[in-house]
Amino acid sequence: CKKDVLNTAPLDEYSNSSLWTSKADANAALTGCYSGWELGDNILYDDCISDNGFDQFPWEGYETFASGLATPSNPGVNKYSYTTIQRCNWFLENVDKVSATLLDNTLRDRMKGEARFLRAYRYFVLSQVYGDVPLTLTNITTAEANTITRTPKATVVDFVLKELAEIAPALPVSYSGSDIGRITRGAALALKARVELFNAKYTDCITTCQLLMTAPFSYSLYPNYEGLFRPQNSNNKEVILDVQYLQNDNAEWVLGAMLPNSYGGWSSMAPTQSLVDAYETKNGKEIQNDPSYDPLQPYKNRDPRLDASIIRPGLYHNGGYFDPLSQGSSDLVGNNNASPTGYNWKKYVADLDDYNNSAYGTDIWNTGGSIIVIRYAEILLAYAEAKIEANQIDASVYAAINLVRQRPTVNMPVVTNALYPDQASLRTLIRRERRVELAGEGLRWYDIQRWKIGSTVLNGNVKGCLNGSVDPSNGNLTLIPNSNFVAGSRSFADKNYLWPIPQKERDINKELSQNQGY
Amino acid sequence: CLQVSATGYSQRITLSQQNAPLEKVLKEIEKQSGYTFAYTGTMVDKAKNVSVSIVNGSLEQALNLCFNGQPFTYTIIEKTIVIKPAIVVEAAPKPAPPPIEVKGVVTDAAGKALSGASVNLKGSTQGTSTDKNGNFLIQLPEGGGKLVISYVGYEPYELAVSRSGTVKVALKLAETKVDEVVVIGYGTQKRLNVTGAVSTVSSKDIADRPITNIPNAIQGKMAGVTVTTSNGQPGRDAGTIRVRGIGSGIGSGGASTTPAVIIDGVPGSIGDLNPNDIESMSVLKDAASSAIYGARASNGVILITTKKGKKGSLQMRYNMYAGVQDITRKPDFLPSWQQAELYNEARANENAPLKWTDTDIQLFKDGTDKTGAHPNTDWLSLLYSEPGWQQNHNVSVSGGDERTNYMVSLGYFDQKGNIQKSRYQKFNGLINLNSQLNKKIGVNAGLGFLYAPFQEPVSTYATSFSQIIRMANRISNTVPDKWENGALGYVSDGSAMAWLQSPSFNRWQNYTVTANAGADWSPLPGLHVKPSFGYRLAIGQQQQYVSDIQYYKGGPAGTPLTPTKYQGPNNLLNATDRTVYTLVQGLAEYTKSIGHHNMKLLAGASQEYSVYNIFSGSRQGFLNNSLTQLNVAPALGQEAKGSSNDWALQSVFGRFNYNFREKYLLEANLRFDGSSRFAKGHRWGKFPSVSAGWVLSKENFFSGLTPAIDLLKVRAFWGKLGNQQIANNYAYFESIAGGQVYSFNQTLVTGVAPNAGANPLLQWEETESSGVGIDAAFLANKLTLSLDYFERKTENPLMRSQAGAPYAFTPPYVNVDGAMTNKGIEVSAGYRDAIGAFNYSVNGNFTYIKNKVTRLTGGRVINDNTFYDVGTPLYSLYGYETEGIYQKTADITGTAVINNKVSAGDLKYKDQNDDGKIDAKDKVFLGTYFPKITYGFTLFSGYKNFELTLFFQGAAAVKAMAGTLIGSVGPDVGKPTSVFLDRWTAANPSAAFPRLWYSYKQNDPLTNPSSFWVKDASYLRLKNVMVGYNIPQAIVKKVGLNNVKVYYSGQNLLTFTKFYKWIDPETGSAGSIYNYPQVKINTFGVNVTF
Repeated sequence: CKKDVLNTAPLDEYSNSSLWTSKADANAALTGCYSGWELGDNILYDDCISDNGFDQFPWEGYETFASGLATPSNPGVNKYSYTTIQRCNWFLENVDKVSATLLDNTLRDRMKGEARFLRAYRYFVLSQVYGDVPLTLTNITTAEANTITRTPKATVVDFVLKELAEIAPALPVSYSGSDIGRITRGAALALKARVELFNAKYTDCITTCQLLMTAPFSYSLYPNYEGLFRPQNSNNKEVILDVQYLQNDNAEWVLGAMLPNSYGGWSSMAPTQSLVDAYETKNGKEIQNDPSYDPLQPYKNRDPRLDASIIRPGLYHNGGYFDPLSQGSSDLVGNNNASPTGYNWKKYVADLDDYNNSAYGTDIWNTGGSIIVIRYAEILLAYAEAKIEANQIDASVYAAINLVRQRPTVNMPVVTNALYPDQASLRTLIRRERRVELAGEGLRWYDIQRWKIGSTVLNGNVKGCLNGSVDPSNGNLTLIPNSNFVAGSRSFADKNYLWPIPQKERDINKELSQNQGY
Repeated sequence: CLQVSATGYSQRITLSQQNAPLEKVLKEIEKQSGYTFAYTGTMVDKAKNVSVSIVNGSLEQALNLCFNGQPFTYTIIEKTIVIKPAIVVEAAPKPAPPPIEVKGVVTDAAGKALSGASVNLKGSTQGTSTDKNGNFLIQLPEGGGKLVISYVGYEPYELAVSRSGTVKVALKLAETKVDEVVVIGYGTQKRLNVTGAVSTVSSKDIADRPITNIPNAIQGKMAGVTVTTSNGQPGRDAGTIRVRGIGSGIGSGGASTTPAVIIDGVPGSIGDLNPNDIESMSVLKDAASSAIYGARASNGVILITTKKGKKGSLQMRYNMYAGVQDITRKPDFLPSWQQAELYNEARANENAPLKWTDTDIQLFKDGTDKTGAHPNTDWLSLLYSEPGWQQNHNVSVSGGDERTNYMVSLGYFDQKGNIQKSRYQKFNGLINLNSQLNKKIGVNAGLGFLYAPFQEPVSTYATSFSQIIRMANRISNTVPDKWENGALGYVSDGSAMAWLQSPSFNRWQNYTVTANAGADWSPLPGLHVKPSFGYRLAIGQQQQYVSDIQYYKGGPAGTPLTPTKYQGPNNLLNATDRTVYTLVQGLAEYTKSIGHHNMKLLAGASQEYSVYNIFSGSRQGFLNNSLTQLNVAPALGQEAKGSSNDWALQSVFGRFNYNFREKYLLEANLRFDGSSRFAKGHRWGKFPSVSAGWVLSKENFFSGLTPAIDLLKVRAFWGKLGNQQIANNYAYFESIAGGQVYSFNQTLVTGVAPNAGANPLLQWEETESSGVGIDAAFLANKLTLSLDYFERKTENPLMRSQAGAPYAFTPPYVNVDGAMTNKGIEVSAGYRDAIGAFNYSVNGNFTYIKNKVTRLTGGRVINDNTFYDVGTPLYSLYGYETEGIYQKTADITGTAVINNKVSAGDLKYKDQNDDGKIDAKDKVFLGTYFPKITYGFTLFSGYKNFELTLFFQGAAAVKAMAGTLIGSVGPDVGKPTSVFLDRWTAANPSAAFPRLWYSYKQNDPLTNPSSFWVKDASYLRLKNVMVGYNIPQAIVKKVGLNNVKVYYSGQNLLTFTKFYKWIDPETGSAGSIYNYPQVKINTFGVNVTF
C-alpha cells in the first residue's frame, strides 16, 4: 500500500522547512520584504492631511483626519501595519540557515542591512504618526500580538537610529544594473538624518548630513526640477531612496487619482491656495512683501517651482490651457472629479505621454516610474534646518539653501546673511523653502507636527483659486478679487498631532493604550 | 391481480406450507429472498392462514399466493416489502343495456361504510357522493368509463365500468407517514422505526414550481431547516441552508456551517442536480440520524436520491415550463432635481460650497435641457432592461423487467437575467441502472452529466459584475447616460451602462460528470455486502474579456468628441479549474429477527480524496475588441498562474438497530473519521450517538384510543458530531506564499513571504446535541403532528483567530476556547379533509431557534457593525443606541457627542457608560440578524380537475441594518431614496430622519452604525402560487397521451413586511448595492405522461 492518504502537504506554497536552501531562496525572501515596503500612493496622498492639499472624497479618509474628525473607530487613514516589519523579522530570523558556502558573508551582511533598513523605515513611520507603538523584533504568536503593549516613542526612535548607524557600513554606496533601487548606505544615512531632524537631535543630524554631502557619496541636484520626477529620469543623482515601479507587473495606479478630470483623473489630491501663496515671487520675496505681485495675475513672476509642481488655471499642460473656471470646461470647480481648489498636482505628470503606451505605462493608471521617498534636496534643507535650530549659523547654511534655490531650472535669487541675518528669520525661510521644494512629497504633515503649527495651518476654510475665466487661446486669466473657492473647512485640536490607534486594534488587544484626547 | 409495483427480483422461492400463519410464511420468504417485510403488528393479526406450495417460483409468485384473499396487499420499495391494507373489489358489473347504471357501496378496509365519499366519472363533471350508509348510484353514458372514488385519508380508487351493475369498493387508508420508507444514512428505514429527526421532501412537493435550484426547493418546507436567499442572479441564486441554527463558524473564516450533501450515496454538490431528477430528499437534522456521517455531519446532512426505473411498461414523461422573471424590489431613488437639492442641503449643513444653482435644479425638474447637463437618468431601469425569459424542459424514460430497471432523464434549463448578458443554462443528463444478476448478486450504476454555461457582464473598473450593479445603484440621476453630442456620461469609476454595453464578458463553461457504481451481494440470508465507488469530475472553463473604454467630453450637439477618461487596457483571462473526487466505500449489513426481536447491524468503511487545481493565463493590449483569444494579444504584461490543493478523509462507521415488535426502538451509531486537515496525533475523531423510541400507540392500553389517535411515538437522542470543513486544507503548515513581487530598475523580481500562520495542534470541532420528539397522527390520519425539542452545543469551534496588527500575517486557524449553543423547537403539522368533490389540505412547519455564545476566552469579538460575545447570538448587530434626533442646538448642550461637528438634526447617541463621550465603549447589542423564527405553510385545494396550491414562507424575530440600500447623498455618486425626504431641517425639526450629511459621518450608518438603522426584518411571503388543470382523459386519450396537466406557477408574488419597502426583507442585513436583487417569477407549465 502506498503512503497514508491523509498525509497531504501544501502543493503550491513553501514552508520554512522547504526554504532557505540557497542564495536564491534568501534573495526571494528579501524581495518579499521589499514588496510593498512603501507605496507611492502614501507619498502622494499624504499632503492631503496637511495645509498643502485637500482630498474631496470623504470615503478616501484623508479629509476625515485633516478636518479634525478622526476617531479611533473612523481614523480616516491607517498606517498601523506591521507587514513589512514582520517580513523583515522573518528574513532576519531565518537567513542564517543558508550556509556560508552558499551565501558569502559580505552579501549576507548587505542583505541583512537591507532588511533592517526596511524594518527601521516602518518603525519610523509608525512612531511618527502614532507616537508609542509596539516594538517587536521577532515573529510573534497571535497571543503575543494580542497582548503586546506600546513602547515609548523615544525607545523606538533610538532603536531606529541605532539600526541605521549599524547597517550603514555594510551597505554599498551605489548599485549597478538590476540592483539599482536597493537600499544604499546613503539611504540609511538619509533616513537617519531625517529621523534625527524630526526628533530634534540637531547635532547628530548635522553630522549625518555632512557625511552625505561628502565622499564617497556623490549626490547632486538634478538640474531640471520638473524633470526630476519624470519616469525616464528615475534613479538620477539626486535620488537617495525611492519606491520602484514597473508597469503591469509592479505598477503604480495613483497618478490617475491625482490628475484632473479632463485627463480621466479623479483630482483626489488637490493643492491648496495656501501652498500656492507660499511660493515666493521671482524676486525672492514673499507675495505680501513684493509690491510687484498682482493678486489678480497671481501666477506671474513666481518661483518656477510653482509651475513645475502645480497645474494651475491658465497653465499650458497636456496640449491646452488648464481651465477650472469656465462653464463647459471638464475641469470646472464643482464638476465631478474636478479639483475643488482649481489646482492639481503636476509632479510626476508633467508630460502624460511619459505614460501613454510607453516603457513607463500603458496609461495613467498603470505606471512604472519610481516615486521618490528621500532626495538630496531634503538632506541639504535638513542640514540647513539643523544648523539653524542648533544655532550654528554659518556660511554652509546659506550655501545649502542656495544650492536648492539655484538649481539651474529654478534659479531663485540667493539668500544671504544680509537678508536673513538671524535664527528667527532663517527659521521662517527654511520652513517656507522646505514646504515649497518638497510640496506634494508627503513630508508636510510631519513638519506641521514637529513645528507644532497645526492650530495655525489646519484651522478654518481650505481655499482654492480665485474665480474668473481663462482665455482658451492663450491661457490669459481674468480673475475676480476675493472670489476664492472654498473646498472645505477644518478644525484642529492638539490631539491631532498624533493619529488615533485604530479601535479595531484595541478591540483585539485590550492592553493597547490610546493616544491622549481620542 | 392486486396492485403490485415491484422492482425486479429474481430470487427463486420454494415453499410448502399448509394452513400456516402468514407471519411464519413471510419469515420464510424473508430468509430465502433477502427481502424484509415491513408491517404493523396489528395488521398481520387479521391475516388468514395460508396454504401455499411452490417450487423454485419467483418472489412475485410466492407473494401473490400468500396475499391471495388477504385483507392487504404489498409494495416493494428497494429491498423492503411493505404490507398495506388492500382494496377489496367484489362483484363484477353485470351486463345491462345503456345507459349504464352503477350502484355501489363504499367502505373502509374493515367494511365500515364511508359516508360522503365522492364518486366521479373521470374526465367529466359527472359525479355524486355516498349517503350515510356508503351507498351511491350513478348513471354513466354509453360505453362506460372510469369511476374515481375518493375519500379523505384514503387512497383514491379507479374502477373501469362498462356495464350496469353493483360494485363494492373498500378503500384503503392513504399511505401515511407510518408506512413511508425514508432514506437515511447508508440505507432506508420505515418512518415508524426512525428514532432521529429526519425531514423529507418528495418529488411531489417540488413539482410544478419553477425551481432554479435545490435550496429554493427546500425553503419553508421543513421544520428546522432555514434557507436564506439574497441574490437573484441566474446561476448565482442559490440560498444558504442552515439546519437547526448556526452550528459552527464563530467569526469570519470559521468552519463551514452548511450541511453535507450526499447524492445517491456520494458526497456531491447541490448545484449538480436537475431538480426534476430528485425522487426524495431527506434532511438528517440531529445527531441521532446524522452521526453515521460523523465528521461532515455537524451541520446536518441532506440525502438526495434520484429517480430510478421501475419494473413495468416503459413510461415516458415530458415536463416543461416557461416564464419571465422580474426584480422584486428596487430602491426608490428620488428624481435628479431632488438628488441635487438634497446634496446642496448636505453641503450647506457642512458649510461647504453648494454644487447646484437654483437654475440647475429648475432644469432638472422641467427637463428642458436637452444637452445632457440636466438629465434625470433612471439608471436602474437602464440596467434592468431585459424581460428575463426562462424555460425548462425535461424528458424522462423509465422502465424495466424482472431483472433490470432503467431511468434516463434529459433536462434543459435556460434562465436569462433582467440585465443584459446575464444568463445561466443547464444541460443535464442522468442514467440510473440496476440489475439483479442472480439471487445473490445485484449491481447498480448511475451516470450523471451536467454542462452548465454561465455568463455575466463585467465592469472595466475593478472587473466584476457586482461593480455594474453597484454603479447603477450609486451613480446619480444627475449624470446623463449620454450627452447630446453622443459622449457617454461617467463618473470617476466610469459608467455602468458603458461597461454593460461594451464587448466585455465573463463566461464560464462548467462540466460535471458524476458516476457511481455498486453491488449488493447477499451470501447469506439477511446479510448484504455492498461495495461501491463514487467519482466526480468537475471542470470549469472561464473566459473573461474586459474591453477598454474611451470616454469623451460631453456637451450639446456638435461638441467635438475630445477624449477624456480612458479605462483599460483591454485584457483577457482564460482559466481552467478541475476538481476530482473519489470515494471508495464498503458496507456490510445484517438483518436478523428472533421472535419479535428485530435487529440490524451495519458496518462500513470509506476513503475520500479530492484534488483541485486551477490554471489561468491572461494577456492585455488587444488591438481592438473584435478578437478574444490570448494569441492575438502581445506577450508584454502577460500573466500565468496555477495552484492546487487536496484533502482526504478516511472513515470507519457502524450502526446497530434493535426493536421489539416495532414498539420499542433503539439505535446506536459510531463513526471514526481521520482528516488530512489535521496533523498526525490530532487527526482522528470519534463520533457516537444513541437514540430510542417508544411507539405508545402499539401498546395494548392504547387500543381504546385508536380511532382518535392513530399514532403516538416518543423519541429521544444524544450524539456527538464533528466539523473539519475549514477553507484552508493545510492549516497545520505555516505557509510561505510566492508572487511577492518588486522591481529593481525596471526589472521584475519575484519573492516569497510568510502568508498564514500554522497551528499544528488543530483538531476537530465538536458538537454535542440531544433532544426529544413526538410524532402523532389523529382522526384517521387526517391530522398529523410532529414536535421536537433540541439542544446543540458546539465546543472549541474551529476558526481563524484574530490577531493584532503586529502579528502581520494571516492568523492561523485555532480551536477557540469557547462554546455556543443552539436550542430550538420544531413543529410540523398537517390536516386534510374534503367536502364533497372539494378536498383540501394544510401543512405547516414552524421553527424557533435560540443561538447563544456561552463561553469565549479573550472576550468580545467585533467585526465592524457585527460582534459576538458571551450571552449574545453569534450573528449580532453592533452599534450605538440612538435616543432620537437633536431637534435644536440647545438640546445638544450637556450631552455626550461623537465629535465637535454635531449639531441640531443629528442623531443623539446614548452615552452608555456616562463618561461624557461617545466612543467604542458605548456600542451595544442591537439585535440578531439571523431569524429566530422561520415558518412555512402550504394550502392545497382540489376540485375535480382543478387544483390550487398556495405556499407561504416567512421569518420572524430578525433584525436588519439597512446598510447601503437606503442610498446616500452625493455629488455624482450616492443617491438618496425616499426615506431621506422627511429629514431634519430648521423648518422641520421633528423629522423622522436626521439632517443630511456628506463629509460628516456622525449620522452615517456605515461609519457609525446605530439602532436608528436597525429595523425589524420579519416577513411573510407568498412564495409560490400554483393553479393547475388536468385535461380530461377523454380528450387526452384521443391524442394518444396518458395524462396532461397544465399549470401556472408564480414565485415570490407577495411580501408582507415592516422593513423598507424597496429592500427585499429576505436579503436582510446581507442586502447591499452590489447584489443582484431577488426576483419574482411567473411561469406556465405543461406536464405530459405518455
